[in-house]
Amino acid sequence: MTKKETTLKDWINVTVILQILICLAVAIPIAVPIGLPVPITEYTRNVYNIVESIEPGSVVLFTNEVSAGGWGEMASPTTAVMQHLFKRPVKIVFVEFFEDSPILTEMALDKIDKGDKVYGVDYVHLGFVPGYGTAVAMFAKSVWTAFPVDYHGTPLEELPLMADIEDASDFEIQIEAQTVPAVGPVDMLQHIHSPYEVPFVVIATAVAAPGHMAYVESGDISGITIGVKGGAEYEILIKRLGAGAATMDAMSISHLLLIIVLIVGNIIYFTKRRGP
Amino acid sequence: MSFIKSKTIPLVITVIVAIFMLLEYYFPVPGIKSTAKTIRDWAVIIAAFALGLGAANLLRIHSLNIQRRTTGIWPFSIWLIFMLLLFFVVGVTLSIEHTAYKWIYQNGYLVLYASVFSLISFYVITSFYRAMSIRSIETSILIVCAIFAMLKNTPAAVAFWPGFETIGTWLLDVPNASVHRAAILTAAIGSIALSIRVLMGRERAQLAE
Repeated sequence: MTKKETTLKDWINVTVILQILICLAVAIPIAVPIGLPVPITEYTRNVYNIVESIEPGSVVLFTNEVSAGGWGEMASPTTAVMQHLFKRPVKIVFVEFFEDSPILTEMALDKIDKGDKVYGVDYVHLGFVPGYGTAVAMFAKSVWTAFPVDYHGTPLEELPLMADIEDASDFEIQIEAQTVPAVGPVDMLQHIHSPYEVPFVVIATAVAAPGHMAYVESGDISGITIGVKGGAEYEILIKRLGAGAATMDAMSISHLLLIIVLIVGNIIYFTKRRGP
Repeated sequence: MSFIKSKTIPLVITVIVAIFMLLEYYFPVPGIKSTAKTIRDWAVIIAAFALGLGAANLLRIHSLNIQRRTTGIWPFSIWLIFMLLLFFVVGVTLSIEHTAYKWIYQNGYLVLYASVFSLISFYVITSFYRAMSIRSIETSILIVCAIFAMLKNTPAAVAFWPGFETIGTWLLDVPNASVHRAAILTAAIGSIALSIRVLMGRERAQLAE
């Protein structure tokens, strides 16, 4: 019995063609930008306005719960919002409640223009504390208990910014970038926003955002930016284009391709169903 | 001795901890507050310890895979243990701020994790072609909503007709938010019921029962 050779015809099927198409729809616009328009949504503009209206001299709590896998989508909005904070006359405390995130915060901090802000005086990176929701509760009640030292191992006594920070009530606003289900907006709402009345803004992935909308509608979440599209819009608002804006052509074309595939798939489905 | 071996002690500990955490919320008097704070500190320490325990468990399971030459798995187990030890050794000896540690994280873990994540796009396009067919009224509604949700997230489409943004936002803010609100409220009621069971010592899931 001779073994049948696999020909190109056997290998090419609808699945392979579709996968090649999505590859091209993402890769070509990134390699050759078209410059399709990117309108600013109300969600992103609202977050921009919230950051813009923070009282000068206030301390902002920025928590990062993004996983390494989610960083592709979240790098742009997270970095853009951080950049905006660094442009404003506010002080920032960075904290992570997920193990992947401290290095991602450092990567974002390396990329942004810090202006004349000084570490320890205008911003501090406290790092990661394990325990997810319990750790959030502990941090909210006593920042110094949760973090005796910062991410770099410096005792908090040596950081002038931390002298006035005791618990969550000392923060003017909290901004959270989040992708992981283990710890997220619900923990922040339970342990920081509700007991200490700290306004809360979320930077969410496109897939997670629908789950947060009930809190946005109720006013518990003051603002939300959604996915890489939100990041691109934010980059346009702060006039500092980055990775988000660069991927918007790919986003438009790949989404349109998906809609075309959906329509074509249904036409074929109906044609086959009506057939003999 | 049977009392010590039984699950009574962990059950009593659970109930006492639950009572203290509840009392702290409603009666924040100094004695209860400080005890609740200590309990919370312990919980964080236990969580930190659990990370180490998880690493040790991974090491044990994958060492067994290698020892038994588990078909199709053991070469990956070698790689996993190698990477686990590499991260541990570099992190402990050079610190997590060292360029070497950052390099492994950014060029190993980060890119691989992101690559696996982005494979979803290939599944999405085939599922759009094969699975999302209009078979009933419910699927028709789902597909129409999916199209508008996609168009809302397509900057070029919104620039072409801003109505896509309006419809997509309405879908997100009204039907989606209301359904999620119902789910959140139901889950909250469920967790209250679960908390009452814990307080009464009737919840034993944490004892692996």
